[in-house]
Parts: sequence; structure tokens; C-alpha cells
Amino acid sequence: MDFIDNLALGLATALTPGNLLYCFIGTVVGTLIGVLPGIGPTATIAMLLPLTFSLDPTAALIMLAGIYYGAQYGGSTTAILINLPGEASAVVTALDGYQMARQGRAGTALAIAAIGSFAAGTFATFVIALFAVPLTKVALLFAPADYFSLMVLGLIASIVLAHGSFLKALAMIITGLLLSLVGSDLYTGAQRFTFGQREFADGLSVVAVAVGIFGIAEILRNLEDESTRSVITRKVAGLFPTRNDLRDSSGPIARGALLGTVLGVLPGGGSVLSSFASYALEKRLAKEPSRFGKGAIQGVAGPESANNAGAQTSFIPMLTLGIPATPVMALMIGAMIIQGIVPGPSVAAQNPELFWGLIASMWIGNLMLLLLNLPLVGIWVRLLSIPYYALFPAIIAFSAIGVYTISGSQMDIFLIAACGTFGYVLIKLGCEPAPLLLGFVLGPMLEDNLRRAMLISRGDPTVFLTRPISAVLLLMAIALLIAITLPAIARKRKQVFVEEN
Amino acid sequence: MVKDIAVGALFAIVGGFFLVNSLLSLEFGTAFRMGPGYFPAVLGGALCLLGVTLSALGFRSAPSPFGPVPWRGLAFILTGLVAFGIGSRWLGILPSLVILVALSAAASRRITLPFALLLIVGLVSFCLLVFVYALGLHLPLLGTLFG
Repeated sequence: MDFIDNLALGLATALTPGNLLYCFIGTVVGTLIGVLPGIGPTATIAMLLPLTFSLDPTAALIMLAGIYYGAQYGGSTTAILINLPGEASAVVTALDGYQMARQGRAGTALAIAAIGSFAAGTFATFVIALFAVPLTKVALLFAPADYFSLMVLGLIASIVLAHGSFLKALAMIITGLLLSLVGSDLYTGAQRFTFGQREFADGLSVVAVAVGIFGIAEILRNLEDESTRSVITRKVAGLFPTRNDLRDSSGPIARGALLGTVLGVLPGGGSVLSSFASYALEKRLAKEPSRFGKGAIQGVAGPESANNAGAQTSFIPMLTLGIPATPVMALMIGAMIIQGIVPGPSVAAQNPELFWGLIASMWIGNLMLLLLNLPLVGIWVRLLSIPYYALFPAIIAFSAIGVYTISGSQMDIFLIAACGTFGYVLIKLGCEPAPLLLGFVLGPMLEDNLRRAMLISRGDPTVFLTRPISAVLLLMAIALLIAITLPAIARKRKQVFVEEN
Repeated sequence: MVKDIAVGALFAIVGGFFLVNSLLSLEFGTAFRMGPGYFPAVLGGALCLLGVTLSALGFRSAPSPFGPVPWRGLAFILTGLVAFGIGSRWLGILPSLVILVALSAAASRRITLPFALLLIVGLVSFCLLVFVYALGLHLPLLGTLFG
């Protein structure tokens, strides 16, 4: 059967010593930055993207992917132990996880988080393997108008997750789209907004922009207040959960896995949305909802499973359609393009070892993380006592060299500085950087598909509504828009995000 | 309140810039055959409108605290990056990296001089190890000044 053959190919590829090594490096680095606050997977992947030049594409993607889902594991460790989620998707884990730690049940919380993540990760990998090829076939039905509508849906959906006002998020998206237009026009070769600088003829460097907005701006934000956070190193005893714990967690883990798998695929979805949704669901379904926030194990089991499943299935739109669901996926696409692979429905057919090797390595990575994290908890926590002033110069240095190795252009370094400043100003004024990066990466594709759709329909804009796929997607986008602006849901959004502060 | 007015103004300016630049120097085209100026003009216009709306709404919203600004950090980090950019070709990567790390370290108010020196030596060595030796990337360690 095709499915078995594909999985076999994938495992064979993923289990080569080289790929195993890069998987290991990726998951360790991922856990590391997940544990450390102040640096997240987006900035890290952007920084390490230039390094993947010298690697073969499969190894490169395996490593970068490892960083992404590794960060989910690392983030929950600090969320539980010191109420400091290292990662956005671990925020809800801190709500009950930290309370469990204070009740002396830190070990149980960590174990359940790891077990749930692994179970959900296995399920998600299975789903990806099962649905990837049929989805590619569906993708081949997509015309430019449909791609355009899908990207519009993705951009609108990313607003749902942005904190702060809807209008600001929308403005960030449009700013990102505009920035992506700098460079040569694809159709006519006309120089747009380049001010005569030859280096900008190919557009602004994605890595420079990402590293500036997510790396430098975040560093500036952290430098506002350099006081140390008190790290209460707690002795983590009793790593094994009791029978009751396991029984109480099984439902949330199963539901979390399912929820994460579905929500992760949505553009703008991913691990963060999945974890929040799972927490809300478990609280709704619990027999004693009042226990949530006071150390309910379901509040750890559900979100932890969901965020891992979500992180993995967010690869699906990228691998099958070539469309990034989140900024991290956008950078993965960047990595593929650097390697000369054109992302899209043909990747599965033309690069099967890459496709299936990546999918198989996700499961292997999950296994590595399960075995790594629990014994090494002590080390991760001790890492937190590294002062920030030792970390951030490293981030800056890596970013600068990394960007320089791609193009050798001075302008790109100045671009990092400019984007860092601009990003910081925007953050100070209450805007979220993620929608901007998403708009920046989707911009060229959005315009290209729009122009093609218009060419094909001879200037008829109703094509977006007459093509069934496009119509459905646009209706979903409009429904989301209405939903976000409805007062009831706006309040719910604020409620959910207030807990993060 | 001020935040919203300011950010609205910022977006309006950015949007306006793209709109005006597109209309002046790029071909607009038609809906059928969109010129290079079509998409940026439309987006620029939309952003401008959004910015104005945000500013207008900002007059009615509640004031929120601005928070501290790390002026020292900003100054040192930006100078460091610019210096690295300028020095990369002229001085070479090695001296530029040293300057970058030194200035970045100076951005912190809490770092001590001995630790900073240790950081410079350690970090620069580590970067060389990873980028030049481990990955074999050809970086001009010494620039045109050194021949």
C-alpha cells in the first residue's frame, strides 16, 4: 500500500545517522530556546536559516522542524516549574501546571505534559501521513483565485490570535504586505520602492526582517527592565504520575490531540490557538470547573497535547499547498526556497524523501524529546540562571553573521537595525509583530495569484465568488471577520489574552 | 490614547508613502492587467485609511502607560549593527564582530567589564568555530583595510 511504502521511505530517510543527528540538534536547541524566555522559535529559526545553506534540504528541514516542536516541550517546563512560560503556547499550561508545582506535584505535571505531548504528536504524525497525499490532490484543484482566497483567510485568521485591537493587527498585515512589494515587479521588472539600491532588487531579505522584528525588537523590549527573575529551583521529585492521574488525563489528552490536529491546519492556527482552545474545552467539560486554575491536571494534559499536535499539523498547508500557516512555516518555506525546492503540491511527488523523511522525523523527534526532557529537567532549570546580558549579545551576533552569510550585503545588516527599531516602536505602540511577518511572506504570492486570477477572468472580480473553492474560503474569512468584531467574542478574546499578562 | 493616535499616524504615513510613490512612479494598469503600481497603491490607500481611523478612535480611548524605553540599549545595539554593516567589508568580519559584541554587551546596564571581555572572546571564538570551521562558510575575516 502506498501509505506503508511512504512511511517506510520516510523512516529510512529519517533514521540515517546524519538526519538523526540534525533531528537531535534541532530538538535540543528547540527545548533550550523554549525554556529561555526572551527568544522564541521564530527568531531562532530565522537566525539559523543561513546555516542550512550548507546542509542538504532534508536535514535542514528536519533540524528546523525539531526546533519548532522542541520549543513546545521546553516552554511547558518553565511554565510548570516557575510560572514563566517560555513559549506563547505554554501560557495556559502555566495556569494549572504552576499550581500543581506549588502543591508539590511538579513531577507529575511535567510527566503528564511530556506523555500527552508524545501521544498527541504520534497521532498528529499519523494523520499527516494519512492525509498528506490526498490533500496534495485537492491542492491541484486550486486555481489562482482559490489560492488568493485561502491566503486572505489565513491572514484574517491570524488576526484572531493577535493581542490588541483588530484594527492594529490588520494594519500590521497590510504593512507586511507592502514591505514585501519592495523589489522588482515579477511581471514587468519595474523597480518598486528600491530608491535605486541594487541590493533591494530581489526584495527585502526575509531573514533580516524576521530577525529584526522578532529578535532585535524583543531584545529591546527585554532591556526595558533588566531585573532578574527569581528562579525558585524546586526539587522535582515523584516523576511518575499515579493511576488516577493517568486516568484523569486520558480524556483531555485524546481531546487535545484531536483538537490540536484540526486547529493546527488552519492558517493562522498552530500551537497557540490549539492550546488555548483545549484549555477552554476541558474547563467546559470538567466535572469540577472550579478546580481549573488551582492545579487541575486536565488543565495541563489537554493544552500540552493540543499544542504539540497543532505544531505538527501546521506543517500540512506548507507541505501540501506551499502556503505558510504561521510565521515559522513562512521561514520553513524560505529554507526550502534557499535549497532550490519550490514549495507546493508537487513537493510530495518530486521530493518524496524530503516529504516523508520530514514527517517521519517529527515522530522520532517527539520520541527524543520524551526521553530527553524528563531526566534533564534539572539542567533546563539551571539554565535559567544565565543572565540575560550573556544571551542577547549572542543572539545579535548570530543574527548579524547569519544574515551576512546569505547575501554579503551591508544593506541587509542595516535592514536588521531598521526593522528592529521599527518593530520595537510598533510593539511599544501596542501592535503584534507576527501578522506583519505573515503578511510579508505571503505578499508576493498574494499579488501574484491576484494578478493571475484577474488575467484569467479578464478583469472580472466576481471570479472569487463564482469559483466554489474560493467562494467557500472567502465566506469563511468574512464569517471570521464578523465573529471577531462581535462584542461577545471580542470580550472572550480579551478574557483569554488577559490571562497571558 | 497617545499610543493609538501615534500608531495611527505612523500607519497613515507609511500607507500614504506607498500610495503616493505608486501613483507617481509606477504604472497603475487596469483590473484586467494590473500594473506594478496597482496592488501597492490599493494596499497603501487601505493602510492610510486604517491609520486615520486608528488615530481618530485614539482620541476616545483610555490612556495607557507607555512604559520605560531602553535608550541606552537602543543606542548601543543600533550603533553596533551599523558598525558591523560598515565594517564588514572594510575591516573584515573578525574586527566587526568584536565591535558588535562589545557594543551589544555595553547595551546592558548590568554587565561587568570582566564578564564583557570574557563574552567578547568567547562569543567571537564560538561564532568563528561554528560559521567558518564547522560549516565552512567563506567569510572575509580581514577586510580591505588589511589588504
